[in-house]
Amino acid sequence: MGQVTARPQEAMNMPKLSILTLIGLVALLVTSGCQSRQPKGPTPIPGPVANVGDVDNEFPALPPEEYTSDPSDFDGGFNNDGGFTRGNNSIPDGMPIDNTNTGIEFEPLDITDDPMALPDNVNYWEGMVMDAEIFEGQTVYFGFDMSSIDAFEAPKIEVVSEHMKSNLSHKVLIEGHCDERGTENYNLTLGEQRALSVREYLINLGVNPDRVHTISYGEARPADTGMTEEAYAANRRCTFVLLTPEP
Amino acid sequence: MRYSIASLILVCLLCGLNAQSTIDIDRSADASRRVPIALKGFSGEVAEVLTFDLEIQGFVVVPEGESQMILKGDNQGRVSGELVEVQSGASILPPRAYKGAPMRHQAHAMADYIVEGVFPGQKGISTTKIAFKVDLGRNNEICVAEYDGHDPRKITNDNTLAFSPAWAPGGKKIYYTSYQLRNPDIYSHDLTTGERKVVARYSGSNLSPAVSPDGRRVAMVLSKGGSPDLYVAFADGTSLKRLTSTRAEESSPCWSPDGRTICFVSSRDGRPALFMIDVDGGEMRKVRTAGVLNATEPDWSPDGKTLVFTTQRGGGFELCSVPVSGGAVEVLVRGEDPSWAPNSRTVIFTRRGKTKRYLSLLDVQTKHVKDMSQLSGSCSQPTWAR
Repeated sequence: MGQVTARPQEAMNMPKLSILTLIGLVALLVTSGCQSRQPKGPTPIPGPVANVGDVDNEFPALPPEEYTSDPSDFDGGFNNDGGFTRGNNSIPDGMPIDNTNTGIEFEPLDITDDPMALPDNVNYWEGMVMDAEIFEGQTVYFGFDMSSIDAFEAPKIEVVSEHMKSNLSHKVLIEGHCDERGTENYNLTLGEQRALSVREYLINLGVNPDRVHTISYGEARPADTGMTEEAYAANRRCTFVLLTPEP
Repeated sequence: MRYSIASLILVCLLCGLNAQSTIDIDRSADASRRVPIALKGFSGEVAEVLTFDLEIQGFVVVPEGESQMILKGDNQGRVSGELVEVQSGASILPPRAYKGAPMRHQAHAMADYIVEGVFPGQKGISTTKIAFKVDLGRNNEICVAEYDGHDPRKITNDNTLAFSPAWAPGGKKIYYTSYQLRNPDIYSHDLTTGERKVVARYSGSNLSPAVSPDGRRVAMVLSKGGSPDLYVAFADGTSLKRLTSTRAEESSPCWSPDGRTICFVSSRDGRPALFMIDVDGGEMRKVRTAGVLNATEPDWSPDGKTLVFTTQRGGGFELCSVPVSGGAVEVLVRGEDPSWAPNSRTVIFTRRGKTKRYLSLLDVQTKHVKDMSQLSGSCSQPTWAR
């Protein structure tokens, strides 16, 4: 579990309750032997130097280690009622597979606590070539402030799912976008929710969740910079980027 | 900032030699009226700074003869001044002179002195700082500036997307989301050393960092669980705890001043609305916002009493306020994405112009607004260092 580093120079008027909570937490962590998964600490990324007058600040961006800390590790000192869901804890028995060679490859489905949880690998693009054009015709559009999939849009997702099920080494990145008629922070989460909504649809069509990734651009990447209803409608979309293994 | 307020050396001239009188400002009658004050003897940048600072903190600068009080002084080599009652000529506050910092900073310090002397209990904000996002072409960078928009400096040069800067208390560290590693990840950025650390780099989007008032924790919105949900962790991102697990999107957490409650937005009930949750977890409780249909981007006043937020209606955005216990909403001005100043009275926010976004300041009590359209580039997502 993470280290609690006391930083007295930054403490300001800390209420007693939160001090006691933190002390209680540290005590519980020490005594409960919570050792199952040790998260790796964050890797420092060198940043620009403090004197930002000069524009030519170069810094090497080191790829960070995969972040493995997980909320399910956290079971000491906090109230677990209500606001803390772990998803399904028991997996029902599956059907036995007839192992005769039918010429069809079965996709192994990873068991995760929450079937809609995103795959752990945040560097999913490593070793892959990205193609943003192949699925241009399958861009999915959304109603204002909506993230649900319209019936007319669903067939496009089915096209993508067919490709994914026929190409098991491919991955797909779903990019979520918004029109500018929302506040910026809200639009970033709405864009993500749209991408996740399309992802859920793909998964329900049988695509392995481990091969489907999401990213939100909020309102930052409009397809149409106009200020008409048509332009706004063109921006409320999810686009698919296909990732294929490098030759 | 090269010169901190600590480097100013105050020299009191003529201390105690003048009789002092107290000015009777009838604030009970109408706290929404700005108090007239005249300035005499100041010129150029110093006069501009004094005027800006005083007018956003409850005064209106009027010509000599139209006010009960006058700030008489000069800026020959240093800023000095004395607040005097016009009729009697008696001194209202002990006179002051400053040295040891640029003239602009001396003027800010003088403005704070007047504000704190005339409105006891109100903190001056004239030397505070803000951070915000600037759009440069297709990408964004994070900037820091004086609260009035002066001396803006980029603190990033990543040529990628970056969003939602958030200060840690103390004004030395900023958190934000950056796409520099091809994913929206949350970083902490030490302004003294330039050092950056990954705080959250999970699959999906890592958004909306908000540091607790004691600096020990950070709240954020992560979608790694399948939906954008509220999480809280230690300030370095360790010991992550999930607070919400709705199938709808959460966004924009902000902290109560005592660090025990987080106010945030959720679309759980169909439209974005404000909710509260204990930092230790539990049920989310809706904040009643009577009079508006939606609410986003809240900020909790440092005095603990008031939430300011954005509502969208009729195609436009408006700043609103509501008591933290919920209730009737007061619509303040056209604008979005507010952040409180340390004085729990001034708010910085974003406005949309014809070709770009720009930052504005609002004095909630008098509704006086000052636009900062002189900042170049499209600026938004301001946050006040507290």
